[in-house]
Amino acid sequence: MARILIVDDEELARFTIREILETAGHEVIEARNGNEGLACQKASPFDLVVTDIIMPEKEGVEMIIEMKRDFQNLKIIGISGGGRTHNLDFLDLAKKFGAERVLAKPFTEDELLECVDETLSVAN
Amino acid sequence: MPVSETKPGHAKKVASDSKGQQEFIENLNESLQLNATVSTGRVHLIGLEKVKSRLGDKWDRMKDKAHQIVRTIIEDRISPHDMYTLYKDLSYLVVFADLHKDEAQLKCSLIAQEISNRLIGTQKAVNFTDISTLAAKEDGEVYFQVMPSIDDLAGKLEEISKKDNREAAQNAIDVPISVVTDFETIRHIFRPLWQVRAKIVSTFICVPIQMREDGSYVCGYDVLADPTNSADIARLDIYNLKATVRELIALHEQDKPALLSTPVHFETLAGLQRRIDFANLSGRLLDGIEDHMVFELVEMPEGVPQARIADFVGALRPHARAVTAKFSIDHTDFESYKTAGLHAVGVDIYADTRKEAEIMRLMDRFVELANKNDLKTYIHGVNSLSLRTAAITSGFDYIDGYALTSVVEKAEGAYPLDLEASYRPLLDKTDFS
Repeated sequence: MARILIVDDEELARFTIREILETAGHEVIEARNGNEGLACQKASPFDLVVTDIIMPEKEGVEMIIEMKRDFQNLKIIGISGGGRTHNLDFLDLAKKFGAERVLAKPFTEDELLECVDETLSVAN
Repeated sequence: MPVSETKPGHAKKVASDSKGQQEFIENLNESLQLNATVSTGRVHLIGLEKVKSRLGDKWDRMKDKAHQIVRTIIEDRISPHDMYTLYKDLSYLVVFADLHKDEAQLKCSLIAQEISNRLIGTQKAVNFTDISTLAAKEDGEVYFQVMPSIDDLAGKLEEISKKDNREAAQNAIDVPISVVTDFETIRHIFRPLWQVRAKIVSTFICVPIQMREDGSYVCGYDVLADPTNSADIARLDIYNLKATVRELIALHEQDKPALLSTPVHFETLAGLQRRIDFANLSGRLLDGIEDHMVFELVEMPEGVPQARIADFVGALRPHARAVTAKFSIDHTDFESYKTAGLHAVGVDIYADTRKEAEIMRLMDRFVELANKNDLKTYIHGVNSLSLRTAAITSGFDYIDGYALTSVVEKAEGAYPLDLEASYRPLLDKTDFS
């Protein structure tokens, strides 16, 4: 099983993703924005990061660019859907700048687990 | 009048490191001897020492890319008649062909701000790039006078503000001192507005700006000695209008497509006679180019009746392509403006000190309520990438960017800009490593 970092400013979203991933046997740590996410990753590197895009202080694409600069082998999944417009454009950018996979909100439990499993299996 | 070293700590010796630079310096000295006015502020040194210090060990790896970015920024902002050269590895010498000292300093400040932003990545008002202006001593010898940095000024201004508050309290019962605004010292910059969906920059907002004696800048109605004086406010609006029209005419003559927006204060429109005078003047000045003009109503008090806004729009709309209005981000009542004829409503969040999460929530609400009333939306003062992304996904139609001293000098007039451009400074930094 993998160590996974969830980065999302919405508590409910973090809780839901955490429940799904822990039930699947993964170890999960949470961060509330890109700054916290970077700090967690630097303190103790993860196998996979699942990050939202629209967040205060440091948003997701910015965090992905910085994480990939320092941790080239880290796998990242970008998720978004919280804003009113242009979310898909930012998911495209997340992929362009280093995210292995992207997932538009809302997604099902199965879709998330499939995405996580596929990303991790590529990593392995 | 040879360029030479003078006071330690306040001057930089001009010398050459390569043949090309030597020629440039020789030409510069020749120009200074032939034309004394060149020495009075048209020659500037933009220094990267603090950028190098901030980047530390990374500098050696990054310097080629850093210089490439700096050259791009300078070239993008100077006119074809201006000249620049790298000087001593860490500075750029820029000679403006026909700008006054304060205009040249303003342009250099904007260049410095963009360099700091793109190389250091800070989106806040902290400047890591030094600017020096060539000045002359009484004996005719010239030297580079360092302009105070923005962070030095912040502390200084705080002190002045405290002192002013104390003095104001002490003088509360004294007769008010008459204050006069020196309009000759007011300049204008133009803030580009990025049209998010069309991915194009086509509108530029005129902002009055003034350099204070200590080298700091004030903008908007703060350039007035008394920003509450309604006669001066109206005078400033006219002054801005004329500057905008001059820029528009130049754009028109060069066949460059762009819209320009100029602010109009509530006080200028509140009184019937002033409103008529302003509208009449606008009609005369904008005859034939009104399709390229946008009026922005600013400083509108909360609760202005819809009929009043409709009067303002009615007075200005015949002389412009559109009329917009700026409100507080907390504003929620747009229903009354729905039928007033406004094209868009906007906000300025630059000075908002609330947490980003709260500002993002207010952005969402502002856009949602404005859109419900068929109003487009714009936002100024977005100073972080997270807020910019939030502004885009909130649905703002227009978002502002780096200011220019002249729209005409921007070769294309209007120009395309995509989402990826927001991340360009970050990618530039990534390219370094």
